[in-house]
Amino acid sequence: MSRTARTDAVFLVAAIGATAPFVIQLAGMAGGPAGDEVRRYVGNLGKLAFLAVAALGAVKSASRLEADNPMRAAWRMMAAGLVGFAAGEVVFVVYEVLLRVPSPFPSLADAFFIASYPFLLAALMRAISAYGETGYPIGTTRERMGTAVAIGAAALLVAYPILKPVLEAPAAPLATVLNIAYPALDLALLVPVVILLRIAIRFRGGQVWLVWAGLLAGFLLMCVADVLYAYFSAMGKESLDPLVNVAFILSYAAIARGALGQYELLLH
Amino acid sequence: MPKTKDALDTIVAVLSPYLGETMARSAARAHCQKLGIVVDSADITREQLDALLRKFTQGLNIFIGREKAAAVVGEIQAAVAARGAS
Repeated sequence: MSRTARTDAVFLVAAIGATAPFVIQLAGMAGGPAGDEVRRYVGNLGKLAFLAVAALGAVKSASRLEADNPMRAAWRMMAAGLVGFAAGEVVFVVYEVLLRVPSPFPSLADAFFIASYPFLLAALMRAISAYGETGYPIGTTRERMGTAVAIGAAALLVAYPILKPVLEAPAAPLATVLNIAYPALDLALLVPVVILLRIAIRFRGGQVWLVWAGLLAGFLLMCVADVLYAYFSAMGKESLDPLVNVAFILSYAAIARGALGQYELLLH
Repeated sequence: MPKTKDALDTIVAVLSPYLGETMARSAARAHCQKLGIVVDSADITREQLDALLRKFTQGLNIFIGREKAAAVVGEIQAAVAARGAS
């Protein structure tokens, strides 16, 4: 078994283990207070572990690339964004695992999460530009602009029906702003993600594809998770929270696999 | 030196694990076109091979870093030389 296949297997087992308690709950077997305890620990610590691996993979990848490598700046910004996400998750762990109280919304965690988005956006934009500098046939700037316009328009069409009930739901002003901000920022992230996906798919079968497939799948899932969270909260469907947790865990696992994959690619 | 087509097949074979076969092949075709290398021509010259590898290295540096890119290019040079000798 190759090193990559072994790492894939470890991630698969870890992701299945971390999502299993929520999938079982969705299947109608909540497991009472013991089930709640398991989900509290596995959910929070699982997300934190995946984000920590993702941030570490991004930091190490940036440090291994030469100073004049255009991808170094992309990985540095990715690292900054992922460290911010990990810090936000630490806040959740402090509330829910250490203090054993439900984490408030909004909280300090939201400050970390929101502050991370500009770094992630900049990282993805820089990666698109770096791909362009390879000199490989990755399509034209015109094609990329076309994709950006199409995804931007589709995102606006999707955002309106989803965000309308969020806007109308009774909530504190800051909570409403955040419930709008997360999906809106995710949809903004979707534009470079889809452009990169269209570029990266040309590398399918190679290790470069595996790295970006992981990262981009993770960002897509994060978008889905945030939209579902905002929608379910506004519609009062908290019973579907396990689905949101599954989406977040899989999202962080995929991003971690991608970031670690880039480090492995540089190292071995 | 081997035939141009054989040299390109060797380059594609070494780069496929990194770039995927589709990209390795289409990049080889695009680089040859830019450099004026005729794929169906007879033997590839040393100058043509070096120019082609310089083009690939530019992209490889970005994805896998300069150190590893140099190792991969060395691997291609050895494989092409072995193919030319056989």
